[in-house]
Amino acid sequence: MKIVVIGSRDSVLGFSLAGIHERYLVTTREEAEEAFTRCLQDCAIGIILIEQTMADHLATRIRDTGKKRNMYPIIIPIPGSGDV
Amino acid sequence: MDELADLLSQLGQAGNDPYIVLLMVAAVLLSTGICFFVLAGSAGYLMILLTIASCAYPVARVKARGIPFINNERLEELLDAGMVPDALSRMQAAGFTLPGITSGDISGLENALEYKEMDEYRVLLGSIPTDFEPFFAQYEVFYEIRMIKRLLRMIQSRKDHEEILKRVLPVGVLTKELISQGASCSGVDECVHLFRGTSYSFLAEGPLRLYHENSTLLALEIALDGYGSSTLHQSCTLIRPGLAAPFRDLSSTLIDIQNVRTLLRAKHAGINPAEISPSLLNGGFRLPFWRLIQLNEMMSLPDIIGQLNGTGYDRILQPFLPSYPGQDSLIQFDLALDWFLLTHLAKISLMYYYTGGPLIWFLLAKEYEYRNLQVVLTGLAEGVDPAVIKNYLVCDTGAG
Repeated sequence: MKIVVIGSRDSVLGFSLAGIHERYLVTTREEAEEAFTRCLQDCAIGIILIEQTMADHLATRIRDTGKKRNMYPIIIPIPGSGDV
Repeated sequence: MDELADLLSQLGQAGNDPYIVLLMVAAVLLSTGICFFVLAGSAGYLMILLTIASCAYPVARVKARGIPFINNERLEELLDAGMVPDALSRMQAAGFTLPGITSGDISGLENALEYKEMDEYRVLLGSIPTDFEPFFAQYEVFYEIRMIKRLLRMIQSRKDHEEILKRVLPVGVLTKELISQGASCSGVDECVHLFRGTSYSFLAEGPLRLYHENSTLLALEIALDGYGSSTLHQSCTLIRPGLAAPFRDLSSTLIDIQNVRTLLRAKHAGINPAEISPSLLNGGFRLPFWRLIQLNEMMSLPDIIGQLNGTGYDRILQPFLPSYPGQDSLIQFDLALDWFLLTHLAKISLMYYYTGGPLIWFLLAKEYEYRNLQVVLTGLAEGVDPAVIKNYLVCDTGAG
């Protein structure tokens, strides 16, 4: 099972140092949507760490994914460097 | 081998060229500088990210596991089952497997749920980041306290030796041997003295004297609850300051709730305020110690609730005052305080969503879930009306 991170430069760099190698560096809403779609298509992905601002943009899609009774992927919003 | 020798010889020749050496030094310095500025620019954030990374797995696990049976709709589904076997199959569909348990054996069901609850606690303890371990490891004291209270109650009501062995489960300092010795005790007095030499030796002092004076276990139970809350509060000091906020928030609210419970129970039982003040705990969030002393001097239980204005506890307790003193008034006050804690847990979980918040929520809310399941199953087995059972459940009202 893989862990991926979707976020800005700081979060992606930080998680790379923490050992997460599958990452999507995104700066716009469209890029975040595309990265999120690709993650959902990959059955091997178990945990998606997504930066809070991106998660806010994708709130409806994240909620819909949660409503489906599949256990995976588990989506965990994380704060961006500007949120802490 | 020849190619490698050629390459080394070329590099050796390049080393003699001062321009190339200067260029190489400049390149190394530049790349080091870039790395330094990138890391320095986000050093604070990187520390937080490392914590988030260490929490990612346990947080994902608790999110996937979930706590379905503190949800009103899920509990209603369970109550709609009407019969224990149907309720058990609905629980199984939600991931609660209780192998080898028959619907007719209610005490076996309760034991199986309690064993499962403790197993979940141990799995959680094994998965959390080491930074949070002092708090989560200390939480075991609440399971110990639950079992010690049960042991004392069963001894007081002169339950059979075998029944005590069946219902009191070994946990922490309460070993099988100690339970077996306790089950053979002739009275509460003797049982309390068994705890000499353990962290519960304080029971044999003031609380035991109060037990004799008032002929009620209340003083012993208050002392045990107080011990649990204060040790958990102390464990927060062992957590790194940057990560301790959700733990401090929870423990100070737990202390408040513990103090309110102590005041209400003691006033209801008519215990002298002077005897109760040593049991009040310092370090509450909404109720400072001076206010507790004032509340302790109130003449009656409704006076105490009236004086809680502005703390949030008055709003949840006042609706039950008109029926006080009723048969289950104290239970209703307890349930209201439980609901308050559950709502507060949901807030902690949302506020500190990237570190300890969801883990704290899971640890405590899971306890309410297991209690709800026990209430539903016992109620259904005894043919209690589901509408009545519902009054004794603690549900998350969606604040989280």
